[in-house]
Amino acid sequence: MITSILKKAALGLAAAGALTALMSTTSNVGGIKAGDQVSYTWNTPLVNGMGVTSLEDMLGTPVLVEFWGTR
Amino acid sequence: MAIKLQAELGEDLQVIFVESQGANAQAAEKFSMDRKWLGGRAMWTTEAPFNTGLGGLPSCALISPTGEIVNVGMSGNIMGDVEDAIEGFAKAKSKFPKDMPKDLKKAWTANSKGDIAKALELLAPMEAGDGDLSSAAGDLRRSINKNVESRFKAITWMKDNGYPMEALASLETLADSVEEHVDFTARATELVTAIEGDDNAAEMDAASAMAKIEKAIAKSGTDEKIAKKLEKLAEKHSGTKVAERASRLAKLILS
Repeated sequence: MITSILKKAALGLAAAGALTALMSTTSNVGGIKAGDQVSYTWNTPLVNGMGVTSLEDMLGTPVLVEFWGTR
Repeated sequence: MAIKLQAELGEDLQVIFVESQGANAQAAEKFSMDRKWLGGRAMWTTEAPFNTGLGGLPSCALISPTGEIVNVGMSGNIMGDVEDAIEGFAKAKSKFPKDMPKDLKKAWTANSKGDIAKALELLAPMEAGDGDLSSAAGDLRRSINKNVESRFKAITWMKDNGYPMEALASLETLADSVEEHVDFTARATELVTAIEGDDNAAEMDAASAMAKIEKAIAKSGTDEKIAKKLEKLAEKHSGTKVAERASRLAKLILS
């Protein structure tokens, strides 16, 4: 229910159409893809986590997850 | 690029960095610190929230405000699309949703302009009614309340983890938004009192000293001299959360 209203409040249908055009697909196998609904609760606290423990805590804000390596 | 976006967009974006080559948290944090990536709002973890299915690094995924994957790919290839999508979200934020009952427009607009108290006041009589409007008003009220609770949660985390000045800055913005809402204002006032009160004076003194060091780090990066300053701060302000933070940072620099 809350997710539903967040969709309305945060996006708006007009912009959603434009955003769809911007979605990029990838050739990833077995991984997430554009359009998937994601949720996750971390087992260990995030560094600088501001009290956030799950992706759901950030609903209402776009989240950019960047995967990187130290090597 | 992601760190730059986070700095530019502030609360309009949340960046989460996920170390994906098996480094432990301390190694990942040191790597980030050496590149001046620490500080600001970005979060860090070694625990991936999902699998991109991509072979190389760096890769990234953008999640919409509703929790839906918008873009996924190699960072160098899709960052332009990611930036366009984020810009689209920012624009959409100020447009009243077409599928929302028009009677909610005033409340929705008040909330989007940051006047949370007014939005909730306008929603109350509609929610008390019957039918679809009541249901939609209830949904909007819950989403507004959830957002406010998230902000209180973040502020409380800052207060409890050695970021009292940042907590006060966020509280100032939140207090303006909830002014005239009795419960939220009382909670905001209680937090301000806790942060600025005599019991927290040592924490604020330490935070003031830490801010000067962090400014120097942001300008020139870290070195042994900075580590010594942090150790000195940790010793002088021993017992505070800020001192714990300073001590941890000093150890990272010297590791």
